[in-house]
Formats: sequence, C-alpha cells, structure tokens
Amino acid sequence: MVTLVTSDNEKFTADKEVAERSVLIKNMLEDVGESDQPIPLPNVSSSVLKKVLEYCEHHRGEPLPAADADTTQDDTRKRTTDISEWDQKFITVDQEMLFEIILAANYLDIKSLLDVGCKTVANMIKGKTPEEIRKLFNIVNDFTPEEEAQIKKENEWAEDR
Amino acid sequence: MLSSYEPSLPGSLHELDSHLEVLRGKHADLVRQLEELGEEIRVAETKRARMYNGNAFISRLPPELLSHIFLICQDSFSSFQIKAASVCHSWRELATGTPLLWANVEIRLEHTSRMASKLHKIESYLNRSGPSTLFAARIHVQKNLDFSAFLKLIASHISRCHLLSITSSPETKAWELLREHLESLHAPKLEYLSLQVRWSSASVYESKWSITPLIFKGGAPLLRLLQLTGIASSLRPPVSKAITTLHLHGVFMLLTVSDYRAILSAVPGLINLSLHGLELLEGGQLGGSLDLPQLRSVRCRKFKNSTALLLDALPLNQLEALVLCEVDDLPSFDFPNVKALSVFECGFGVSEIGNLVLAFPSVESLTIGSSSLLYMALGIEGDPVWWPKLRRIDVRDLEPEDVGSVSRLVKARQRTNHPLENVYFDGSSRRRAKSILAELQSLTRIGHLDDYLEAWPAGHGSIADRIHLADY
Repeated sequence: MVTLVTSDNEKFTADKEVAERSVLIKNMLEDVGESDQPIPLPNVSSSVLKKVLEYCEHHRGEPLPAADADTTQDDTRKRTTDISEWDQKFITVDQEMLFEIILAANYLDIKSLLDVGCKTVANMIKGKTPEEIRKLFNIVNDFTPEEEAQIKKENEWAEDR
Repeated sequence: MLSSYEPSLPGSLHELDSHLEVLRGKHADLVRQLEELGEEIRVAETKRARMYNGNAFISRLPPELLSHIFLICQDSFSSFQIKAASVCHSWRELATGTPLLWANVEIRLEHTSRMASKLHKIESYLNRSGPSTLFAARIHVQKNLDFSAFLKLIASHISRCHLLSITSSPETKAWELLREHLESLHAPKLEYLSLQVRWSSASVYESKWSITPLIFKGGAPLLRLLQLTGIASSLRPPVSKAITTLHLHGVFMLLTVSDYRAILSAVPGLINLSLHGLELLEGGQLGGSLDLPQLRSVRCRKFKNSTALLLDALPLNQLEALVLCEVDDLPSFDFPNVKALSVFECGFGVSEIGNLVLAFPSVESLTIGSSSLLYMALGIEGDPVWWPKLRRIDVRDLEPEDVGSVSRLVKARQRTNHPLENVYFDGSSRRRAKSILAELQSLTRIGHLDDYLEAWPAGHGSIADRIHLADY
C-alpha cells in the first residue's frame, strides 16, 4: 500500500498498482525505494485526489500508454473525441472539478485521464459559436477595437473551410 | 434674441472673433479630454475583462493543455482555429501561437473582389504555421483568375510544404503559371502533389511529355503521391522510386509507347497506378511487362484504342486490385491474383464478358456499376462455378432492369454452394432494389455503401472507411 498526502493534509492509502498509474508517483516510489514514507502531493486537493484514485482503481490492470505515444507534429492521425461510457459518467462533474482533474492528471502524469479530460472539454466546445463558448466558460469579450476589426476580417476565411 | 442663455459678449466684430477663437479652443480641449477619458475607460474595461477572464476555471489550464484541446477540436470540425481566435484575447494569443492549427490552408478563388482577403488568409496561415511546421495547401481556382500571387507565397514556403493540391477551372494561363512559379523549386518535404488544370480551347500548354522535369527542378525526393490531371499532366515533376501512387489523367497529353514505358520505369516503387484517358501515339511496340515489383492496384479509366499497349507494360500477375471504368475492350490478358475487381460503365459485349470471367479466377470482391451482362453472366448456374472465391458484391447505379438479375445471381450462388456473404448497395441502387431486399436478406448480409466516387487507391480513404452496415 502507498500513502499519499494531499495539499489539504489529508492522507489516502491506495494499492501500489493503482497509485502507480501515475507516472509521477511511480517515479517517486522508485526513488524512495522500499519505504513506508508518505508521498506528498502538494498540487492536489483531497476532493480531487479522491476522484483521481476512483479513476485509477477502475482502470487498474489496463495497459499504460507508451511514453512516446504523445502527438507529434508529424502525427497526422485524427484525434478522436470518443470517450468510454464509464469515463463519461466519471467525468460528468462541475467545471471547477473538471479542470482540477485535468490539472491533477497533468501533474500526476496520468495520460489516459488527461485524455479523457481534454476530450471532454473539446466535446463541450464543439459546434459552438464564440459567443456560446464565452457563455459556457463564463468569459467575456475582452478584445480591443483593433482586434475586433481583425477578427471581422478573419471570419471571412472560414467560408473556404 | 439668440437664445435663452445669453452671456455677455464683446460688442465689436473683431472682439467677437477673438472671443470665438478662445471658445473654440476650449471646446477642442474638452473634446480631446473626453476622447482621452473614453480611451482610458476602454483600456480599463479591457483590462477588467481580461482580469475577469483570468479568473474563469478554464483559465487555470496551462497553455499547452488548452492548445492541445484546440487541436482536438480542430480535428472534429473545420475552421475551429478561426473560432478559437475569436473568443477572447488569451485564446486568440494561444490560437495564433499554435502553429499546427494553421498548418492546413484551403483557398477557394471565385471572385476578384475576394482576392485580397484570400491572399491575406494564406499569408496569415503560412506565417502562423511557420517556420518549422509542415503545412498542406489546397487551392481551388474556380474562375479565370490570376493566382500567381498565391503560387509566389507557397513557393516562398515550399521547404516545409508536405502537401500541395491545386485545381483550376479552364484558365488560359494556369499551366504557364504553374510552370513559372514551381519550375525551379526544391521541395524537400513534399509528399503529396496534385495538380489539376481543366482544358479549354484557349489554354496555353505543352501537350508532349517532357523528358526532363518542368517543375520542381530542384527535386522533390520524398514525393510519394503524384496526381496530374487535365493539361497539368504534362507538367512533369521529378519522379523517383519514392513514388508509390501515381495518377495520370492524360487525355490532353501526347504520349508515345516509349514515353509511357519511360514514365513507369522511373517509378519502380509504384504500388497504385491510375491511368485516365491515356491514348498512346501510333507506331508503338509491345515490350512486355516492366519491373514494378510493388505494383498491386491499377485503375484504368476511359481506355479506348490503346488498352493492349497500356496493359502490356504492367506486371498483371501481381495485381490484387483492378478498377475498370469506361473501358470498351478488354484484350486477352490474365489477372490471376486480382481479388478486388471493380467494373464501372464498361461497354463490354458478350465476348468481353466471357474474357472477363475467365481472366479473373481469384476475385473475392466485385464492385459493379451498371453492367447488365455481368450480373447475368455471374447468375448462370453451371459447372464449374464462375469465380468460386467470390464472397462480396458492391452494387452501384443499379438499373431497374437489372434488379431481377441481381436477385437471380444471389440465389444461384446460394444453390451452387458458393453463397455471397455480403451484398452492398449504394443509395440509389438500394431504392431500386427495394422489392428484393427482404428476400436477399434471408440469403446474405445486406450492407449500405455511401454515395461516393470510386474508392481509389486502396489506403487513401479506403472503401473500408466509407462503408457501414445498415439494417433494413
């Protein structure tokens, strides 16, 4: 078992196999060797770590993506936005939690969870107008008149595809 | 009385002029102050809006993650980069600073009035995607417009261009423009090149295949897919063993048998070959098949009198896929290993159908586009069974009079213990075959084909990507 300590000082214990779905934790465990020393996670709060561990527990035993599976410039494969049913349910949370999970997945280096989070945000954005995107994420139009003029011109470009 | 407000004013014209001068000065000063205040308010409002946006949950994401999300969105719907750059300042900065979002530019030139905007577009895309990101450019010239400014821009970034596609409607100077701007280029990363120029009676072009390259004289060593259509077919880029897919639409090209054989000899790595409307000049000799060890897929379209000469150069024993479209005669060649055969709008008579049946003993998958005799031939019951390995038929453009033949064919295969496992119909064929679908479904699996032009070559938007099963 592994003990993890969150930013709000809560302790979580998890199976090594589950915790090691995080590349960061796996590397830290390798560094400290055979030790009961708790692993501090100063960038993750308890509510978020709870969700992250739920995800890791569900995907326990599944093959981890290869380290070089990142999308590169030469990679012309289409990025899909497909998300499995369980992952969809899991990630149906409020926006604050969604972005915290993405940040935690990025920090903890859990590629599959990061993918699920990013695809979820992409699915939220898809098909929306800029104004609808602003509403969705509670942001406002903050362009200068010069930028507005440039954007007006650029909108003509979209007709070519 | 001038107005209800009547300040004490000087009494002489001269004094009034001086007074007015002072008043106008004060007024201008106030207007300026108001403008400055308005500007200050605008700046403060913008700053406030940006601070407000900085507090949004999504703003907690580091730029590289949001940029990654943009790329996912862009793959799912077109022109997302323009939308992303219109949401807010920070998104705009991030979107315009993400080169991959701008690495695929498509331009449709339709009116002279939009040329400046389109030029600004391609310029911006090339700048935003640069300087080290590979880019793809697709230009469609739909009117008789001078597109040299676009070619100039592309030429100046050609070192990182991996796909270039230019299609032009009849444009008298298109061939010359392409030659002029692409002539001396070195395109080290170019993998896909497609040039299509439609012919018109006023077109200026050379119809003879040149021995030396006319474009990309500096070389295009990675070029692997080359498509030359219409009068562009004589533009002659450098060809090499890297080319695996070649499409030549040579209706307007004058080729001798030696030219044709020289072209094929220069592309020994060829896997897919498409020949459209090629007619070889008289006086050629049959020379036997060339050494094209990788060649597996061939498409023949609009062959008239040169079929024998064109096929003679190809290693037909190796072919696994063959498309015959608008081919009127089929000389007695054998295609012992062709597993996927497509026959579209071929004017075969009874004897050619007989040759066809004998020439393709290994066919497993057959696509038919309006060929009554072939349906009938394959429906004949007898011993031996024609094409014993045939398991699938794709039906396109089914004629009403062929509906019965399709039904008989499926039943005959069933009775002779060589049943078809799948029969696919495109939209119009499905509607015409409505009366037999239920019965066919009890004998085989019925699928739905999208209404697309023939899938070629294999691996480039392959048939597998375009088919989905449908329930009736």
